[in-house]
Amino acid sequence: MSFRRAGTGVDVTGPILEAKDLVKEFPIRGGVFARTVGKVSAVDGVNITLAESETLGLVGESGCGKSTTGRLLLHLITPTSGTVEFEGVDIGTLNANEMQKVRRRMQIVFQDPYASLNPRRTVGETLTEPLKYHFGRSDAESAERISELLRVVGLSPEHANRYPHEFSGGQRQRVGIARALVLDPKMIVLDEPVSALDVSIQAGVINLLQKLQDELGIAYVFIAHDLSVVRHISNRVAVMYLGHIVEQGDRLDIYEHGKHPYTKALISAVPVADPRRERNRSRIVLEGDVPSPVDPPSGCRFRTRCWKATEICAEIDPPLEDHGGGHLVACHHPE
Amino acid sequence: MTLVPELLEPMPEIGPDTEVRAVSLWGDVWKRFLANKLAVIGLVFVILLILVAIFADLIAPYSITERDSANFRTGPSSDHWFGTDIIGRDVFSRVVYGSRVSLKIGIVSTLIAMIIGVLLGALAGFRGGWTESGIMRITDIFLSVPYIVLAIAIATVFGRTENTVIIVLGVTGWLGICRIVRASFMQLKQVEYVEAARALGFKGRRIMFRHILPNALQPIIVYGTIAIGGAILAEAALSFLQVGPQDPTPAWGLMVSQGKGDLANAPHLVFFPGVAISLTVLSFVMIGDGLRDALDPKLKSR
Amino acid sequence: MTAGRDKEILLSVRNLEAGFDTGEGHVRAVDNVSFDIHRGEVFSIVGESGSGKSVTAMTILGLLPTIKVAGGEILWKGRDLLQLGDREMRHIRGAEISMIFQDPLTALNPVHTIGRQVAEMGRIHDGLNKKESMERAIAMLDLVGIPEARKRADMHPHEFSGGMRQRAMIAMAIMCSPDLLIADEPTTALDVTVQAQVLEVLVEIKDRIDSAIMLITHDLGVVAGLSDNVMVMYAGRQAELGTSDEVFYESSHPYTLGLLKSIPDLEGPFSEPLVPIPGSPPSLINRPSGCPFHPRCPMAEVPGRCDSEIPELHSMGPSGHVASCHFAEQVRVST
Repeated sequence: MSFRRAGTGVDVTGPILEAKDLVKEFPIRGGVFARTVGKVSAVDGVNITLAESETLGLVGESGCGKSTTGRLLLHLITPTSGTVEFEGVDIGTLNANEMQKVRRRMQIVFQDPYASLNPRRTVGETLTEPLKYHFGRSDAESAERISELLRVVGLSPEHANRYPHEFSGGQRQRVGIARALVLDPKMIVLDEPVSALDVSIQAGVINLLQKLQDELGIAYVFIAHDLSVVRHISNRVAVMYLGHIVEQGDRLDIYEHGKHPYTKALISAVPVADPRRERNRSRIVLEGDVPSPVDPPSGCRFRTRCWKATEICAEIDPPLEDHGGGHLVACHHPE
Repeated sequence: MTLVPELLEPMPEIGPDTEVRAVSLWGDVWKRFLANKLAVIGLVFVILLILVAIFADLIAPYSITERDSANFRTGPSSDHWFGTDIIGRDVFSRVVYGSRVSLKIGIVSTLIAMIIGVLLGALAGFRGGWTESGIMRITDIFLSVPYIVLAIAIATVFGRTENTVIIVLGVTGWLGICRIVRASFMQLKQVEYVEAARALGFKGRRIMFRHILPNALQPIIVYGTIAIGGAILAEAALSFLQVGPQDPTPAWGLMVSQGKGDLANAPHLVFFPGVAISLTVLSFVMIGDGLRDALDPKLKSR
Repeated sequence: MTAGRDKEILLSVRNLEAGFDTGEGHVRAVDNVSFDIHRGEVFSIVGESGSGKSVTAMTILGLLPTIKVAGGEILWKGRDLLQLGDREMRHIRGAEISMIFQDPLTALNPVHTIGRQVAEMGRIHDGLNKKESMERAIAMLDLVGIPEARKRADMHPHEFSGGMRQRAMIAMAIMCSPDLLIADEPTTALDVTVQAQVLEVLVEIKDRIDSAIMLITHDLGVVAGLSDNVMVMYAGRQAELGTSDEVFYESSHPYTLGLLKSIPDLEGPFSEPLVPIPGSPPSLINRPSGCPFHPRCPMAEVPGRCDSEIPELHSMGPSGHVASCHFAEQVRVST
């Protein structure tokens, strides 16, 4: 068995993914004629780089824009502005056929194991279809590859003839992972891949993902709200709040030397399965709720809940600044 | 790239909860349908009707034009189970042959309407934007045209035949299913397995027809079944208005129309074709309802 | 001995057996479960899907009409709730035992204002008039930390954020100062920072009105932070029951151990591998023979006692720590 080595994810050959200034606005429709009366910036100026074989954890609470960001990286949603470069190519400039080819190398795994598989297709059909479509392989030619894939994700080749409803949540999630692997991707966006699973099942899927990364060299963008899971699997982590990345760095930077108040509050809020530690913890409890993304606070968006907020926080939205070694923080009063 | 089929944990058990019936998704539906008495009655009736239509030659004792000069406008008797009409034709035979007319018109026109409606609805729901607006405006236009007027217009131009009725019903009957399919597609295009299909690089048409449509079938099937009943009723109305097939074609609606003048003296002329219409329509509706209930308990379990 | 055990016993569940019939057979959702809850105590029931934890809670309040209780007693202040008629149960629900649910959006009526829904409790159970109950409702909303309670009482549920709605539910539940508050996954649907807030409110309230809390959750971290006593359930049976320290530090059931080992930690060494529990939770219709956990248990004796004998509750000491495993002592020693 091989296990992860802690690392900073810095890669010599250059990043496989580079997203710059991503912005995604959604129109708000209102009124009798459903006209656009305003817009919501779900993602507001986000930069992401991803090196080969590394895992970038993307964390944040609801409304922070992490799921939207994940889909923007794959161009499943088109950005309002900003670029996504995959393997050096700006995928926004590709035509449909070129994009189709690129899609083979960037895949996605979803949160909901019950909605992520077509209920009318057997597992085998779901896995074979991409091979047929992209490479023209017949069912017979693909069969061996499908069997191998199923075994790799911890299922049995006989499962190929079953329908999704015959599987448990954890098994369906594994099928989803197998589907993402079928075309040999270099990068997979995982959108809350274990959140909907029972705790005892999560560990198996997480281990599987790590093993696959070690053996196949796939880079992950791991989107989750569960900070313990993210800490376990990521090399680098980016913390999002209301469409912005407020802090970014490697694991150690974020979890042990977090500088942004939100990061600290987030980590302190996570309950730990250890009664003594829990009893002795001093927890930061934030005031108020997450503001609506329709009408974000002026200046720093976090200021309405921040105990360090001063006048400047209401006037200027702090930019991300490098505090050394790629540890980026967007705050006027970092630790 | 090599895949090492090595496992970090033992194979998850294929225990009792994965051993669920290897029967396909439709087996359950059939069982549930059969448990619904009304639906089964409807189905039996329709099957009988189809058999009657197919074997009309063997069942009907007389032809549709044959006249019995001894019996004009007589009520039911042992020679003429449903009586005779004004010019002495056997009502029973005419009703029997009329089943062919009704079924043909009902089924073909519904088929046409469904094809148009599903295609347009799928495009509208999946593409959205201008495509959707355009299609919705077309439906609005069709809605504003009363189909009776349209029917009469077409009949005048193309003649009063079965085919005219089929065209009219086909061309006006797609609106309802179009709406439903559009709603289905709008909802399903957001579902994760459709997103996965897009991530895998599949193009729109494949996603629409290979991924979404098979999952949108339930309401289509239910609607289609009930629509056949509706089409038969509409055909009856059109023939009643004498816009459809003309005498001697034994369209049930036409027979009712022809008999309505003599309601007091010869009610059997209206009764038998009328009952035939009602039972047929009712049966299709009951089948449709039964299908809806049978399909409803979610096929994706848990 | 932890806090709570010295006060009077409010709820005593003895050998409860409950289940329901489905098209595929009889589901034994609760299988011989016994526990006590003392005044002022926080008692947590931990389990994954299919463990029977929610069904246990709902059975106490008689909220599931399809559930058939096959045996046992539920003694509330000495009276067996299972023997009470519907009218008597209605007096107890809301007034002596209250419940809050996981999803406040569906638990609150969207058509009525929050204030009215909270006030309704006072009118029904305590016979207050409209004005009095509204005043008390506003006081409760204030108590749970909803700012500008008077104004907010006139708002509707959809105008509240998730955390606020949950607080409103708590306010509704404590209107009549119940002695026991059952919280069924109260924070599962909430963001982690909001979760911290709501849990804090729960504990404050409990102390304020001197009630007990029965907390149902799958999150071991939440359990560790709040509980006096913990019961771990698996496949409808109780796997382990003891004080929080006993269950976490002297785990005597392989399932408890397995759960603790499979959760990634927020602190501690990076990349220590997670140890999943293989397999998946069993079907409650076709249960495994003997111990329901044996197919997934790393130390099961098969063939042997584990697949033929259902384990009794072994006492692990005078404090009432019990575990249903044939090898409970060995398990505890290995912790």
